[in-house]
Amino acid sequence: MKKHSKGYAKKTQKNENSNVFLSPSKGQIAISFNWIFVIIVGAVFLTFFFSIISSQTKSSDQKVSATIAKQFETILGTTSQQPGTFKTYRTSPIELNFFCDANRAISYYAIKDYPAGYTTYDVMFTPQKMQGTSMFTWTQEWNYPFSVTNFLYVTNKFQMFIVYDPGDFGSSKVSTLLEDFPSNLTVYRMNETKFPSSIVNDDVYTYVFFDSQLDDIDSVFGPENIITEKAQIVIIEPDLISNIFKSGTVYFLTGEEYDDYLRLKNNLASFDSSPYFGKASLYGAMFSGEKQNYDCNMDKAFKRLDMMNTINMYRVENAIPDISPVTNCFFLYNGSSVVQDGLKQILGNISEELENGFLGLDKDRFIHSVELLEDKNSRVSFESRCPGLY
Amino acid sequence: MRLFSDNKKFSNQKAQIQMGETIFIVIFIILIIVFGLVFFSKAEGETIRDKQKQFRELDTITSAQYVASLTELKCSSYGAEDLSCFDKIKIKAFTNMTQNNWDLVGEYYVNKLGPADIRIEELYPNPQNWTIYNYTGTFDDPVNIYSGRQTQIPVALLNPITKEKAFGVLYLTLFDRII
Amino acid sequence: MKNKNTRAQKKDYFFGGSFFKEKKAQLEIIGLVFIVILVSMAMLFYLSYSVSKKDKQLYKQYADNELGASYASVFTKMSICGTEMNKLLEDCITTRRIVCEGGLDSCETVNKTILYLLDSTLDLWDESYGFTIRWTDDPRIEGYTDGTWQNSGENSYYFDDEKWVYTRRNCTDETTGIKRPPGLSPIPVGTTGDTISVEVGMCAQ
Repeated sequence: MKKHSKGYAKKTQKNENSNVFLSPSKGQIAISFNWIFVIIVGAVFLTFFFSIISSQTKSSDQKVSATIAKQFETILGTTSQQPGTFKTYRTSPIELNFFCDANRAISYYAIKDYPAGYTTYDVMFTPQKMQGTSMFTWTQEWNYPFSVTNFLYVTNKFQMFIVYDPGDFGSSKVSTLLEDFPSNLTVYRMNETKFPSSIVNDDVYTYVFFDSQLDDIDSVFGPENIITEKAQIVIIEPDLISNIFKSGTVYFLTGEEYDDYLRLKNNLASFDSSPYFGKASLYGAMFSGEKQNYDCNMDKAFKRLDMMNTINMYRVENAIPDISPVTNCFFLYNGSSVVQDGLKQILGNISEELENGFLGLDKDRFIHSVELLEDKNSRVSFESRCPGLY
Repeated sequence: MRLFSDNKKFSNQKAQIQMGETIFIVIFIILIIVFGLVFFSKAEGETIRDKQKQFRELDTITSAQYVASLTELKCSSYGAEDLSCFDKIKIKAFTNMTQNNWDLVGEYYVNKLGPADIRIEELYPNPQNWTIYNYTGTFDDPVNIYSGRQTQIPVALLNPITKEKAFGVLYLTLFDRII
Repeated sequence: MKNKNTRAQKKDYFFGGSFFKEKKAQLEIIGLVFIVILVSMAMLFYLSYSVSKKDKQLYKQYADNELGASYASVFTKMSICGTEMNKLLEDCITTRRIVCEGGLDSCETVNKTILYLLDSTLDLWDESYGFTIRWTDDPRIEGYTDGTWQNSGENSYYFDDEKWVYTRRNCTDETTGIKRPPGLSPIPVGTTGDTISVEVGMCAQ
């Protein structure tokens, strides 16, 4: 007999003594069960860990969005209080979308598609969409005629401003327009010999022309030189040539509308337009580049103007009892048959004109009342012991 | 015929013991991981609470800066504004406005300041005080009035007619909303 | 013979090397995993605690700087005795001609006002601070080194008539001195070019 190992002998003995069907299957079953067990446990572990990873990823995304939203809120809150400041912020790659609708009084910004914060009372002129890892903010105080609020302009390096600067007498207006513009912003000055032939990677480009330049531009540049794809065109028509910032009208055209304007020689008045009041307001039109955003934010600004006007009315009411009634100061405040309207009456007139907000404003009447107020306040400042309104 | 010999019985027992060991180890590891996750989530909770506290303190700084720079209250000397200076007539006007015209201005300041109590106190020469803003929530916007944290800022109070400046303090107390 | 073998195997398995060898390796691995998890959790707690402490200090520093700077600024600009505080200080240091309410001279009025204001503000708010009015160039200022006042330990104030110094400090033993706030309010005095400075600083923790 062959000599086998003990184990084999035992096995053989096993086979001889036990059920023929059980012994081979038992081993296989044991192995199968082992594998089944391993697979089940493995699947449980994997499911468990994948669910943790997925929930952590989601909560991490939300955390990042919440942190960015809070940072942005703090930036808005602190930057908007410091007029004249220009700041650059580096962020993680984000996509910001800005939405403002004056008719429905809704205004918010969203990070990707998640609404992150409401800007119901913040006057912010921005492009509709902003992507990237950096952000510029610039603040300008809006006075009309007293300090009303700070305007915040938000942009990034992908927004380019293109102005027509012929280099002659006409360029003084352009220089005046851009004198306060921060140097970090991308501004391209085009003329007969220099024009943007192609712009790569810039998401938004805003052409800014004066109405008096349009004929020159038309004769020098054909439609093929003006890049109309993805372009916004802002045309400024100041009321006074000597002071382009005081007041005027801005026209907003898309690239296609500008093409039509050049081809068909349409009247400018047929395009979307809005009034502007003051430097900060004009800059707002440039940064918005389109009517809806501009009108919506100016409506917010005018609501704030209405509030400040009401406060000034209360201020005048509270000051009058402390002013000696026989002085010129009293008449300048309270009005009289000789001085006619005092500060009290003029502020009341402005309040009536602001009842319909920016969208329903009578521009000429409003400008006239503001000029009266400026005049009255400057006369008050020359009187002794007579507090100026602003 | 015996189904299992002693040897087989021992082998089975050994296999069962080994399986038992494996199961025990797996359970133990899962328990460790679970405990780890519990601790981690508690730590995360602490981090979130800290972040919340940090945000609240940021809010206090932002609100204090905002109030101190309010054009509605600041002194103005024909365009040149004086920091740390409030105009007394503007303070009275602002107080009147928030008390009598809350419909016009309330929503705006609640949006900017939230639930808060803002008081200006003149210490010298004529002690007096004004509560210029007080919003402690509504039924739809409940506020925890016991969560107040106060900041004080010294301010000069100018009488624009006599041009005299008094020593005053701005007290700003912020409250937390109940979420 | 079979039973003997089985028993021997069992004995060998449970009480011999094989069983404990296997067990030992597994136990060692479990122990290692456990220790790694413990150490990671400990590090996590430490990191989160240290970051939050730093943020707290930043806020306190900002608040203290703002309080000190604005206090000094408002104090020097306030109207008192028909003039401004800086003019009254100038008179106190130089000629002492101004007479105020109740027959008090300029120095007495300044002293009385400071006491009243500090009692109503910084003392009431439980702040640890140092309030000082001094000549900017006086080398004899007690404990002044490199912009940080050393703790005097006393709640005291005094006038130095020769070269005018007024100081009041209430820093406690736990604090390490007064941090000089940024933005001093130096007041020019006379025509010699000397200046007085008013400093309000919070005690450093």
